[in-house]
Amino acid sequence: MNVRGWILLHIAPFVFPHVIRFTSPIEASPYPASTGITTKIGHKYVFMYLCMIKSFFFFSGLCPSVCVIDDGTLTRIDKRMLRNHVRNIHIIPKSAGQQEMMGLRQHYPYTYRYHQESHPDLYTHNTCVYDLIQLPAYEKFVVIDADIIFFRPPTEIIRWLTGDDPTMYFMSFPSRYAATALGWGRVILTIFANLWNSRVPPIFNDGIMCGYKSAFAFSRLEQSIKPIYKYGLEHSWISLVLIWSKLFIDISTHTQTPIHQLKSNRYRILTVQSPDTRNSLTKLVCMHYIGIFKDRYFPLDALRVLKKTKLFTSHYL
Amino acid sequence: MKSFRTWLMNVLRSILLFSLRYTPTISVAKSTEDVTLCSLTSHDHLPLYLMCVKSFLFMSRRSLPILAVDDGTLNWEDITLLHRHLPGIRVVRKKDADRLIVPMLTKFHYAKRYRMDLHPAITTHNQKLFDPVLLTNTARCILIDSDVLFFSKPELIIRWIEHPSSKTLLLKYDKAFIEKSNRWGVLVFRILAKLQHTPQAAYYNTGIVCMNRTLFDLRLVEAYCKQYYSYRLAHTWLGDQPIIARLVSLLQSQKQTTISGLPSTLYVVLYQTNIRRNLSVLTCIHYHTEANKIFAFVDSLRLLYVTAFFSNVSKTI
Repeated sequence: MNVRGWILLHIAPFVFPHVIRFTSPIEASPYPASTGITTKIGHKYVFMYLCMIKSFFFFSGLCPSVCVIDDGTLTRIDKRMLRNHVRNIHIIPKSAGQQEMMGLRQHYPYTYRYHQESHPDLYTHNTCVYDLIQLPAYEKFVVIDADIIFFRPPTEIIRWLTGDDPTMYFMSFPSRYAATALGWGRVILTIFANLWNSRVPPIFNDGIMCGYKSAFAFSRLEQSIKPIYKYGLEHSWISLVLIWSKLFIDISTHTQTPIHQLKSNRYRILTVQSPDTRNSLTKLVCMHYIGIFKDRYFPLDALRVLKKTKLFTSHYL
Repeated sequence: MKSFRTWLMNVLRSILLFSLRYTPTISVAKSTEDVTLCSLTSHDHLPLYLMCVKSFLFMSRRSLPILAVDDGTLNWEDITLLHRHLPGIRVVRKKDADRLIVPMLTKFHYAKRYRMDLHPAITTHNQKLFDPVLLTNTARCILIDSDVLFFSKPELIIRWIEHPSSKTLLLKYDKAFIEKSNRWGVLVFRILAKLQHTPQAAYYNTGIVCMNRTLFDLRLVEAYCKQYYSYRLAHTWLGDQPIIARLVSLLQSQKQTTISGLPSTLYVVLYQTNIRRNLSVLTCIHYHTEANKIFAFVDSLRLLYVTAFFSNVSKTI
């Protein structure tokens, strides 16, 4: 990296929040709706979220209903900013769904436990599965993480949102990465892939998921969470990957719903093994900045796309 | 950085090899003894292996038969060096080991396959599982890694040598520390144990194993190797350690042996490098990761200096 690149990389985190504030607001379809985009966010990720949703609206040319689930850290200012920047956005408070949760206690004890227990090392992973599917009013949902930036039209998602494709999609790591990456986490995912006789767990990523609420029945959710407790994985983040993987595998097996991975060379996940990917962002549909890359590269790449799109102007209010 | 590290390692290796010239030769006991000190070693680890064996023999003031199995990288100079430093040592070359081991494993398909396959990620862990224990001629053996260094008299091991019993001694990780620092590794061990309904053996390290040879039950080893293949873990870096640790844990539950973990405050598996400040209070250190090898060279030189090249133990390291 040259000196200019190094300086930009270190200045970007300070500049990015100020620049994203000055982008034009967008207007989503009114909530409730049958189709929409859901994201779980906290105070720390508000600016990233605004960048993600605005880049999605800009490149897709769609304006679906949008809903965010507060992880409990959103302030009044954050909520006001979200409402100002994304008109018709629906914000679901952290406390939502508690009443329904209590009702699950008897028949779905593992779902209840996983959601309600405190997991010291987890951020909001344990609440994601239930909240993202059950709390929004959408029957047909797209879950998109806040730490994603779109660089081109996401054709598959556009087609899925506007058509009646029964397929469910998920973001994925390249198979090559899954096969060669070292680490205990990979070993665990490999074990479960073979236990469940599926290729999904080692490649699964929950950055983007397209699915149908009705497919995620409580009984299915319970069956996916149960093995997590059996193997003592409930307090590790890998539990979330395994639960989502198991849900997708079960849905595909028992309901004949096709499940497909979004092409990993276009819907890219930034990993240690692929740092050069950032040199040609415009060839990608989107990039998911996982782990340490979130703070390191997201702001700079967000500024690059903001500059390229002249601050997201053309489709805006 | 990596090349500097390699350069430094090479320099330290050369200095250690040079210094070892001035250490006294230690005659190895004849194989009429009951216990053999068995190791798998390589060209790169040769100075460390010599330090391991010499520091053990020097600190314990005992002579034992010694078996060194070549991992395929030892050359004639290395073997001459071994014979010069340790007259009477039995060195088994890789091709001889292959010739001797294969007939022993003919009835055990997966064990044989695991032993003979190439595993790029684990180098020689598969060979380490079988060769030292199966090629020894004595009823009991001390399996020891090349990267173990002794700083004072290993009382517990000497007591084990002098009092034949069914007890098995193993190095042990500091439980509280390992639960925190290598939580994933502990999880993988637990999952593997749960999958086969065997006792959990998460805290043992195979840097030093004092065991009866009969405990190396090839039927059980076959089952564990089969598990590696059925979960596609054979080529991952899960090596001999999960197998040996689980093997003895299972045998303990069947009351065929009693495991006694060597106290982790004296027989240290190196995780925190600050523990090396005062080596004289420790019995030994297992420098078990590649990152720790540099400390093994440094501490070997410190040990040689303090013992004035193995002739004076009175100074404090």
